[in-house]
Amino acid sequence: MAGVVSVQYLFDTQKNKLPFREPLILKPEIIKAADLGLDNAAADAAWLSAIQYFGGGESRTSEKLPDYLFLASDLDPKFAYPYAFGALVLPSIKFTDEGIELAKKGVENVKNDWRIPYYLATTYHLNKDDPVNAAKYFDITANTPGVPDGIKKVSTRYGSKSDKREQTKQIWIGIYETTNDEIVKERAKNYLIHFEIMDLLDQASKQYYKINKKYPAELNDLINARILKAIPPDPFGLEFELNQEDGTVSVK
Amino acid sequence: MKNILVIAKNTFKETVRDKILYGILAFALLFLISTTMFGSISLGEDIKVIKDLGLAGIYIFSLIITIFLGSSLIYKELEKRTLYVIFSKPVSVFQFIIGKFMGLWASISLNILLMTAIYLGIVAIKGGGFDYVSLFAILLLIFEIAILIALTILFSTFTTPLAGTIYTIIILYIGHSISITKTFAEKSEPFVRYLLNASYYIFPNLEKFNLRNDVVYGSLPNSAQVIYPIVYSALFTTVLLSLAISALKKQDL
Repeated sequence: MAGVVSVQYLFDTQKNKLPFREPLILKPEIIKAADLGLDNAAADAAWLSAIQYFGGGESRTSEKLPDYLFLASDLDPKFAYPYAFGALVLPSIKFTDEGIELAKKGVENVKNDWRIPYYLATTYHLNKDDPVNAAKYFDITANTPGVPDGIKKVSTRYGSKSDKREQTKQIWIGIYETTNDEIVKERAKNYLIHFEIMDLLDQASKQYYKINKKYPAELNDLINARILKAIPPDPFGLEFELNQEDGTVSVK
Repeated sequence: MKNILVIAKNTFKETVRDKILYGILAFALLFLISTTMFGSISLGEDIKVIKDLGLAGIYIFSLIITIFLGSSLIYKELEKRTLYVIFSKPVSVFQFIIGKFMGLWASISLNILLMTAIYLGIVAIKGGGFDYVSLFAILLLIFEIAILIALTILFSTFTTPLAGTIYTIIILYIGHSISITKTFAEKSEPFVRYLLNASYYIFPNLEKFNLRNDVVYGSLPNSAQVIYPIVYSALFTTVLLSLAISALKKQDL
């Protein structure tokens, strides 16, 4: 038994030393020809592999994630969550167009899941800066059966607020409050923290103006003036800068 | 009829007592329970994943049981020469084959129902309620298995269990991808088209029995989706068993 454990341990140690190789993903036609009609189960396997691949963090670029999600959706076109997940997560790893393509396919194939158009609209709003398409998909969300009240409000009110940051915050609050997905929840939480920090810096800048009758030249001025103890770290590792003319905060 | 029932009862008892069956069944139950683990790592899609994998597990393990038990069913009797004893009594080949078929079908159906009960329990415990729609998929599975049992019995009359297993697996794959032949036929030359179309009707179309991908989403099948496959199964099984009867009659018994 000790021998078995030792060999297993050595095998794992050696395996960990090998460089990570991106997985080979088969075409849906090949899988369908071999799965004895168990397409849904094969789609689940693709979905579970996608989560392990993305969550495992072994791949730096997660370049195969779109392939996994497209595979899951080809094998089981009614499987809603890979579409929604792809719409929200793929843009964060530089696959915005793939995320949009996948989510559009999802809107076509799954009519009763509000998450797909909502996440697609979020992607248009955040990553494409395309309020027209964002409004289109927020409208679809608001008219999807079973949409939670909070999400419906955010969706119907889209475009009515001039403050883009506040609007974006409301979208992420909706996602945070409704998702059961840990990856998406974490992402929503980080966005909310990110916007809270920006709001905090905005307020501190205005307070600085009240005292000094001018806006701070840089963020450290807020610490030197003892308005803030420190600049909170951004969850995405982004840096902020101040506009000296109106004191507004933006991402560097 | 009495002879058929006696043979069926004995076959049922014989297969239910088979140790291989218990081994496969234990793995099946373990797999069904493990679907909850797969569900828990699916980011909120647990019920769907449990249903998909649960129904897939029931299907795969039913196939394994069918092939293991069916491929040696007649062959064992021939090898052990017990068939000679049976035919020395007033039992016809017809009664023997039908009895064997019915006994094995009852035994495998019982196993399927046992796995289904576990599956329904797991789905209910995980919050999916009573998944009665899946019972349609299970019903058609039982009729698909009838064709496969008849097929294994047919092969069992003239070939070894290993060869019978291989032939059954090949036909199983053909049966699930038979629609591809139809697509190819449409694009082929007239002669090839004729051959492909003939093979489309000769081989069993097992995709007819596949409701698994739809019932998971709670969509109830229409009556045609249930009745046609049952009639198809009854007719195809009759043809296969008739061939098995004539194959056994040709043997020097």
